[in-house]
Amino acid sequence: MLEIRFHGMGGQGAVLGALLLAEAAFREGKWAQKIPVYGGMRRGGAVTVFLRIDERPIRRTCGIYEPDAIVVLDPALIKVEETRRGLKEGGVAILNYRGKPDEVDLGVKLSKAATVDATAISTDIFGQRAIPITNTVMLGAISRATNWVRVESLYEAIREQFPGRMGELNVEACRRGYEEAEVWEL
Amino acid sequence: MGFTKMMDGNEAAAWGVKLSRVEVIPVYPITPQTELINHLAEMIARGELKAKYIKVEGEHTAMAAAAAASAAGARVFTASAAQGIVYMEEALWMPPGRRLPVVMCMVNRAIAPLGGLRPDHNDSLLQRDTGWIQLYCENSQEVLDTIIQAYRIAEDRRVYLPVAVCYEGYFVSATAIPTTAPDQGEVDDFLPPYRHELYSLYPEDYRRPPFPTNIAKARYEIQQAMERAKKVIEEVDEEYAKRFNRRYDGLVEEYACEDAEAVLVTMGSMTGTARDVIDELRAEGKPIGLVKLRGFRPFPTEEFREMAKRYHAIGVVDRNTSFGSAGGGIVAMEVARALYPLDDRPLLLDFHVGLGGSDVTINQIRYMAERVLEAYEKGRVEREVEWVELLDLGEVM
Repeated sequence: MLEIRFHGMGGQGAVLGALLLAEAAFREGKWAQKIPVYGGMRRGGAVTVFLRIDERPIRRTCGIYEPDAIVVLDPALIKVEETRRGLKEGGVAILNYRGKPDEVDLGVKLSKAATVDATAISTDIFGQRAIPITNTVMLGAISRATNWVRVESLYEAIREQFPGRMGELNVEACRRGYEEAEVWEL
Repeated sequence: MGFTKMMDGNEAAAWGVKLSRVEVIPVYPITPQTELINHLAEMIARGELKAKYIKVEGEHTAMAAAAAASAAGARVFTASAAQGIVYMEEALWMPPGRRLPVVMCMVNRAIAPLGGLRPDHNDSLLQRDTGWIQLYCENSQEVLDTIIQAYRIAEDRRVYLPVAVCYEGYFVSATAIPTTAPDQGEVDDFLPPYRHELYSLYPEDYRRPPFPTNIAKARYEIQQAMERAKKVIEEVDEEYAKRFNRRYDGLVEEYACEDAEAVLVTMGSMTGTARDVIDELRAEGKPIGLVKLRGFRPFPTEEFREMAKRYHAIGVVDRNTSFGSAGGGIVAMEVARALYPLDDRPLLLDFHVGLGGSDVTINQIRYMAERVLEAYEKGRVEREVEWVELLDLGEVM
């Protein structure tokens, strides 16, 4: 079982991003589970989402305290203690970050890190926003860096979630995340 | 055609309602129930669900309207949580008292001020004396299936009581897993249209307004209906399993209990986590099993008396508090009453955990299971009631 923790700000799409990843995994015949943990529905507050992917049905409903991987949707959250907490030795980090992946230091030895400037890509595609929507860009970076899901499965999940122009913009965001992500591996 | 997709508990509940062809939905929004009624409003707006959606000014009115619509012959649904359920409480007594088969979702959320937006079971358990049947669900799939079952149970002539389908906010309501919605035609075969029988089940002398002369008899008949509901819940689950290939074992499920000497009793979403922990302990050769309490009303007294013959120690996980009680949480007290008349009673332990919406973790479940095993091995209980969250068992969000 793969246990992934998403960290984002309310409004960046962490919950929907995790759901799209779960749907893409489900399309590929896997079992997936998404558990969001947030307070009230509000923009700007910290949002944590737990995502599990497995070959067989997932039964546990508890939080993920020692994730195999973290996905960080906002650069400001990389330094936050809650984001790093419990990340497993040899884990994976996929970050919205302008720097190189080999510069990433989360205080634990990683097996893989990927970075992408998701904020810049989001601004290109969706325009300037107080809270940039970075979820679909990060999904592209995930698909580039890992074998969790194929990028085509993500496109399908995105198009089903957002029919029409919004879907195409998000597919474009995902494609650019896939193409522009830089990956470092141990 | 039926289909399977990623669905959280609230979306699954909306599908359960839609497939049950509910006709009237009076509701007032409250976190974590809001997405459920959003889904229903959208289904109605798209013309997929032919129901009257009544926007009311509060939960009390929601239940008053639900009772009235049910009395007028409609199949009715509503939903609430925490403060909303408490505010609704006065009206909650109406459907059982008038023998109206209303179905509602209680999307569990801790009651303020000792809780935030996340769940414990105090809001629904507080309603245990009202005459509502209460079924607790573990995940989205069970929510969807249980709502369809609930209408069959509520509308059964032997029962004619309202049913609360309870599931925890966030851990079920917002947790998405692959969930199957059955084919509408197959649900229609399973759940025929509601045939309204107003007052038909009342005692003769209770029907004459304004003063029911035999209230005790009317109450006794509700009690009898609760007793009959035990069999009906099992039958309905059995038939559902035959048609749809998913079963929940009626009021109580025993999981990995073969040759178990001790068991842990859980309710709701924590059961899924407990399955994983119990599997690990079994793999380590520990003689422990899991009992999932699905039906709290009617309470499965007979099943617990049967279990008492097989298991020597029972640990109850109470995601609730009853301050100043005879001892521990609400579920443990029910279990104790069920076991009391037996000559040979198993040891009984009670654990408070997951209060005010905190997570129930793997470490906590393992700890509780080990305490029950320890009691079995020593042949005595060292602590009758334990507040597990006050112990340092690792991070708890």
